[in-house]
Amino acid sequence: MRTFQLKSSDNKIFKVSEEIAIQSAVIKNFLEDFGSDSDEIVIPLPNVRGRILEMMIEWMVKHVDEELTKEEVEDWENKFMNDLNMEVTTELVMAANYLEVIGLLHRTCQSIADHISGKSPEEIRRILNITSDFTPEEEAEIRRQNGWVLNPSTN
Amino acid sequence: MAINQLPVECISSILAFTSPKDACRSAAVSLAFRSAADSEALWTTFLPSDYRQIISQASSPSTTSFLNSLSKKALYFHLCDRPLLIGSGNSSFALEKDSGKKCYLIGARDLGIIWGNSSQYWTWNSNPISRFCEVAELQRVWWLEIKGSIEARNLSPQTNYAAYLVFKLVEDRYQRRGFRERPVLLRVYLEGAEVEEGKTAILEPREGSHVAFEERADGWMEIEMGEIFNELGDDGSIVCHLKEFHDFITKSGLIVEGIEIRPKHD
Repeated sequence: MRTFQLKSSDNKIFKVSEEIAIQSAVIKNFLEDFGSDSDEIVIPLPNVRGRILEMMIEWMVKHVDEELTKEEVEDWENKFMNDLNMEVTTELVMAANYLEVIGLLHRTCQSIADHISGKSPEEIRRILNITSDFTPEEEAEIRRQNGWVLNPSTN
Repeated sequence: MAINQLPVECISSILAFTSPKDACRSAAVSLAFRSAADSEALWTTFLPSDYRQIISQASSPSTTSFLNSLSKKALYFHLCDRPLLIGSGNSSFALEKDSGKKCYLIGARDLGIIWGNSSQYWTWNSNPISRFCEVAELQRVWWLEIKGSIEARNLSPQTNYAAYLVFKLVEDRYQRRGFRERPVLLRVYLEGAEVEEGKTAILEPREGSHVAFEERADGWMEIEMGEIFNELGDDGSIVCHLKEFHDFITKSGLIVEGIEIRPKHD
């Protein structure tokens, strides 16, 4: 089994096996295009900082661990997601999207979706720490277009 | 990292795990959310996976090309607000607005109505509030039996459905017979797994007694016939069945628009 080094934006180095790394479609393509037999190969990931990369690798390691049952992986993953705050979850969405780790992308998106389902726009802004960047005219127009879900009487 | 910094396609991926209703709400959050909430990618996930095949069944080809020209979001709402006549125009398809799940109304012409082709028993007339060309009007029978069926694979999976008889009674009360005295038996079952028990309902309740049906927004009445959980869509045909065949009681004055199958929530 070949191993590689992944280098984060803050120059942290992580050694991973091929089996783990190819859960990222981007790394898989990279290895297919530039693969060598050398263990020395270093893949720079300038868009992912060390802490996030470490978490991604932790997630990927669990998902190839053949000693774990599907339920055990799910239980682990639920706990993993519950321990994350919104900012880190968002960074993981970004990194999973960038490296095309589809399973992690879906799970992190699902987690954010669960937080905003059934909430009003004001509540969503508060939960996600967003300030509105609409002009008053734009806001009025959106409220008109989406009246069926925004007006209290139809909620 | 702030969520507004995510690429729009990531925000769309997040919204795809919510519902159409949530997505519309989130359009009012920020500019980035509005772009994501209006995106083709998002609304493609909310449409049924076989939506192209469904709109190709439109009874008029010009409707199919019109629907294909719409954005996915516009198509979604069009299918929610305006039932699409399909096949020979005797049934219609729609989406449930909050969830995007499939609904069908099997029009009277697509139902199996015993004696339906004998004009002394049933007649076929146009009706101003019908979405179809014709509705079935009961003149007089002893043996009243109506059956509608739909393939489970045409419905949304993992969804609890109920079937509703969509009907009216004629205005003239002297032309209405049998429905005050005799309840009709209503059943919904999988073909081949016919159930004997079902529910009974009085279609013309006496004043002050319990009314089991409701008036719909389109002016018809509806009464629930039963429910069924569609798991994977591989259960074959779902049959919706109404019958009343007491020997001595003539029944008349029932107008049938069709049978609607739509999701039922707790």
